[in-house]
Amino acid sequence: MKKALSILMICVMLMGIFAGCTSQPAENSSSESGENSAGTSNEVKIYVESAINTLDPYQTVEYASCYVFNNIYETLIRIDENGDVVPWLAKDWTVSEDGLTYSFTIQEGIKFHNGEELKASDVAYSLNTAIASPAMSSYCSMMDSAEATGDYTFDLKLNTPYGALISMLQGLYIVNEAFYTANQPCYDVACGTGPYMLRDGSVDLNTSIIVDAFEDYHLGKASIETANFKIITDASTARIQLENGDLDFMMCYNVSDYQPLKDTGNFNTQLVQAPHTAYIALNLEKEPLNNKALRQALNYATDNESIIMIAYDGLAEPARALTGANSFGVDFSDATDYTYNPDKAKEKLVEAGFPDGINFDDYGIILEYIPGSYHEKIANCLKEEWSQVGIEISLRATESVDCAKGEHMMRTTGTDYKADMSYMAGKYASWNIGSQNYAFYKNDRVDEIFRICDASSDQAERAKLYKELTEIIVDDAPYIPIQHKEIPYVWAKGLNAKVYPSNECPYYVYEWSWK
Amino acid sequence: MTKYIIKRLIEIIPVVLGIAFIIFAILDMIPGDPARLILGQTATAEAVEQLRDEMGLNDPFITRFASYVKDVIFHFDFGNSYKSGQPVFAVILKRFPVSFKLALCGMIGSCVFGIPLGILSAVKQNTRIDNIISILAMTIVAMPSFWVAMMLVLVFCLYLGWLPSTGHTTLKEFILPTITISLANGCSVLRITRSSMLDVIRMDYLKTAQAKGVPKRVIIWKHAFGNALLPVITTVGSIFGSLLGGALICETVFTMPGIGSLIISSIKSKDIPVVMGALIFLSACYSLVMLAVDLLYAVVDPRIKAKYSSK
Repeated sequence: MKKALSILMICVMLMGIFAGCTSQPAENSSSESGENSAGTSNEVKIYVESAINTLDPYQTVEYASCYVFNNIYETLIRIDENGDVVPWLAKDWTVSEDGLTYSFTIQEGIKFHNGEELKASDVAYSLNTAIASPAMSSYCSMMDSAEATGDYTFDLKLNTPYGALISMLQGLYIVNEAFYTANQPCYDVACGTGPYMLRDGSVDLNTSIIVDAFEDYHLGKASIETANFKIITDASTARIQLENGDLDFMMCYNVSDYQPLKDTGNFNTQLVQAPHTAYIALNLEKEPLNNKALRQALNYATDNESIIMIAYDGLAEPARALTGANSFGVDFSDATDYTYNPDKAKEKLVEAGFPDGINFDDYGIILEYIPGSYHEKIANCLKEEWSQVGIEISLRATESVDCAKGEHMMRTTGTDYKADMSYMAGKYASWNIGSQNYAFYKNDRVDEIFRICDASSDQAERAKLYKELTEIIVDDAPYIPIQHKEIPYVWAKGLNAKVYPSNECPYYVYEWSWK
Repeated sequence: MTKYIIKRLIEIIPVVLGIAFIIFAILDMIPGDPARLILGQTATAEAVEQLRDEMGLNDPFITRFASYVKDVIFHFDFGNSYKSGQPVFAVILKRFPVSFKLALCGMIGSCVFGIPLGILSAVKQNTRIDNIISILAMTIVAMPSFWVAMMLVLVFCLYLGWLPSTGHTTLKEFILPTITISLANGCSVLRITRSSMLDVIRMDYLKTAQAKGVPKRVIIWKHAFGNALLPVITTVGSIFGSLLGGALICETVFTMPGIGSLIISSIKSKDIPVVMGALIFLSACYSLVMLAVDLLYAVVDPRIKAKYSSK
């Protein structure tokens, strides 16, 4: 009797657990069937390659979060595909003579998802929150405070003149003050002015985030009713889902998937040059990397073209500095050209005092790379290429190294660049030693040019000075630039999608439609 | 019996504290600055230093560990995730049901696959069936789980279209992950069942039972398997315990947000509070599972039950 009772209880427990397994699907499948019955034309399923940590736009600058932010929030300005600034929530602006105060007028009649109208006070609150947030310090370090001067006007005060300020505003999303303050911490809720609003209860930051078209969007309701951001951490699974029709739009995280998917003829494909540079960070504080001729020799001995073929399936452009030629102020016309040249590399080695080549092991210098990524392939190519001119180096895989503190010696890594050369101060200006200046590079003229250009709004003068700067940083070679990768996008044949050459804002679902 | 359980439960506390200390020390030794990782590459040095101060990262190791343990014990506060700001315990509780269901399905699958084949293999020792089962088990053990998972996805999702490749809500979505786990772990169950059955099967009391005319089915399942069950329970218990946090491959390939993938992504982003919280939680779960295994011994073996009762 006792035994029968315990067996019965075990059965009941097991049934309970599986009832738990299947009760959720009941709700879920109804929502799924709802979506399906509405027809595929109303929903687009978008691949997100990593978990989204938070939906609070002031706590993160990670791309995965930005994909969602760009559709639920808006910014004061946008950058179009030509790199030009387009006023968005801001209507126009003026700059004071000392360059320290920007007075903005914002658009009227724009509504938040909670029905409230966008006021200058919301914008001022958003900017002040961003300024106070340590996570946003790279965007806001030059900003002091924002203050509403009317319902639709506000002043943004800077602590130092900054010529490229307007383009930095692309990364600052505007939130509803009342909603944001009432719902702290805002990691799974959102209220913006964007064309899509979060579906209640749909947010699971690990699996999917569903947004629905916002009826009162100021440019009219979106053509696509629902966007489902599906978080899939395994790229092969994502590819299968795309082929299966469980995904409609995918950024090919595995670049090697791009060509086979393109060859099927079932998808639209596009390559977009990303404002990103893969490079080798040299720590100039370590002997003998402080030897300029040696660094130049390393640059000459690096065959970017073949690295790109091996490490990135040919889907990249060789880089000449940490910023691309399309960034304002970058002009390589008179800069040193480090196209692969083994003879020149050997000459430079002699000049550097290493006529018989160099073995970095003697100096305890190792080339470190992030394992399992294209960086690993880059490191392997470099080892091979350098050894052909007599430069020997060992490799080591390291997951995380604090380059800002100089824990590295020589490391493969990557950086983004922006529409204006001023952003590169992070990598080349001496005041960023200890944060982004991984090379510990210091050149007084470089510092001076960054300072003059930040304070100046005379674009012709800035362009001239930046050209000089480009020549100096290429000649000094504190880093070894490798490539600017192209991001391959693949999407369903029936979808009209558009992608931008940007890391944070690669697409706006509002601009898409089903054929 | 109750006294024994209470004693075992109290023993779990120093074990978990010891584990917490080891994890805290290891995480402290990993290079990289959490403040820098939270703020990103582009943050200024001042912002990083300010955050380090706020987070108490400049305090000595022991001070930090003591204040962590104090918060956990007295306030049941595992801290907040560096990345999202969410309370760690809430993050874990959100993930745990997925891991638990996956581990349970995996454990049941492993038993369903391993036990009958193990018994069959022992009963038919040194016959063709035994050889076939052994070769099968060795082949399956040799196949890496991620490969099996990808093959299953290719066949059942892409080519046949019968089953979904991701998801964690419907029973259907658990089928492929369960098969993946069961194949890998079922083989250990199979081998342990086979060997412990072989130990029992030659005992005299089974011959007596056979001589008395007891049906073969009863002899095998009741008299032989009943006595061979203890090592099998230990194996199955430890499989269940390790699956709670270790079904990483399934979680990754089938996009199931369980504890394993949480730990890995948190280690990568150096989200120390989440790693700490998840590992402490898992070690407590593992200890409880092992306690349950010991109690199950008493259920299947009256001799052990008598021993517990006398304690």
